[in-house]
Amino acid sequence: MKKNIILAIILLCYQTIDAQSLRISVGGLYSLPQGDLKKTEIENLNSGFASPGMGGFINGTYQLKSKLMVGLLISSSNYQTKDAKKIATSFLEAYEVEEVSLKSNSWTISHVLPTVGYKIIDKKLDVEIMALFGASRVKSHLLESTIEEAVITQNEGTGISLTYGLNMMASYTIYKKLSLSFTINYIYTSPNINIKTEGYKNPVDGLFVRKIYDGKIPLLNTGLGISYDF
Amino acid sequence: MKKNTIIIFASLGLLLVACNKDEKVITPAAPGNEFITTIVIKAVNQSNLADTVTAIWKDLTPGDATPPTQTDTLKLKINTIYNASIFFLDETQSPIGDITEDILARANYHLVCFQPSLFTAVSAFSITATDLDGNTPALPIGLQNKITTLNADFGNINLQLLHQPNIKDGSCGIGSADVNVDFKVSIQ
Repeated sequence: MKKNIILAIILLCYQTIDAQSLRISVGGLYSLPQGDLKKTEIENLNSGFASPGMGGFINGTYQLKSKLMVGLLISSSNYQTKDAKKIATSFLEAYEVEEVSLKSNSWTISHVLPTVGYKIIDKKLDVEIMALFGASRVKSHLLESTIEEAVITQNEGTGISLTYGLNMMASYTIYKKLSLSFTINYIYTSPNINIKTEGYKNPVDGLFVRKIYDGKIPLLNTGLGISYDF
Repeated sequence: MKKNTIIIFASLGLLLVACNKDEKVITPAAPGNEFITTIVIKAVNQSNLADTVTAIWKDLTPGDATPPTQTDTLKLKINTIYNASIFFLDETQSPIGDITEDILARANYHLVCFQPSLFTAVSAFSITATDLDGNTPALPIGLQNKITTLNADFGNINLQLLHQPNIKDGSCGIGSADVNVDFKVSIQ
């Protein structure tokens, strides 16, 4: 067993030394939140009320021998709050007031994901599939509700959680070492975020007030970028 | 090198597109309000449960200038302790709407406040809420109360149902009044 491990390490080192190329890709992402993050149900405090988001990515892949690849994918996306009127209406109805205003901002989700992949097609059009496993940092949105003389603030919270997913990238060479790349990935994370809530004095049923967020967050991302082979 | 520079600037541009963090403010339309036409004070003598006193205030058109159609005097005995319940009704509905239940369901931001006045002796009449809401710490609601009388006297008691959304702290000086009425009190 010990010999096998040493042999595997030597083989991996040999393959790394014999590496063929390093490719760096950068670009923009269009991210579709799934699961709890996109839900807009008042009775589910894990509803994220998140709109489809925009973001960016940097993807580095190092091609080893035999089309095996290792790399690192770093990406970040923002998701604006949608259907905020539902949240404001929950305060309006629960407190029987005539006016509520709700201020909100966006979710931000960032990933650092080491990758292991395989190049399926290796011609002018490259296609590679990568397994992703790493960590995500999820920042929840701010929700500040002004109810007549009172303000309830659900501050932004941050959670870091394990993340895994699958990425497919297709790159088409447009000029020497420069190529246009299209990427699609499905990423899953489930953060545990403590949310500091201020000014919440008189709890009643039907209010959308979170103290913790532990929703399931799958993301379907598509990206367009440019790649350069070093 | 030139190509690398182009790539770096292009990627930075794409990343900046993703950094939109504007805050939004939303204000939905207001729902309809409840209507209270009738207030009932029912006081039960603690030492004689058969001794029950009821006083009613009624105004079927509380939004206009017409005076209430019924303003009973709360007639109490001297040196007596009463358990007093307050009921709020909407008699414009059929069957009659029991607003008390709604207030109880949303007790965390409702408070019934009493302000005695015009009594010759300040100690002649006192009223204290005995029920508590679900706030932490629990605060009085004022639907269930203890009335204590001392000497024979005559005065008024002002009753307000206060609406204190997320500001209720047990005090009467805050929020808006859903109703604000005076009952005459006679202690004999």
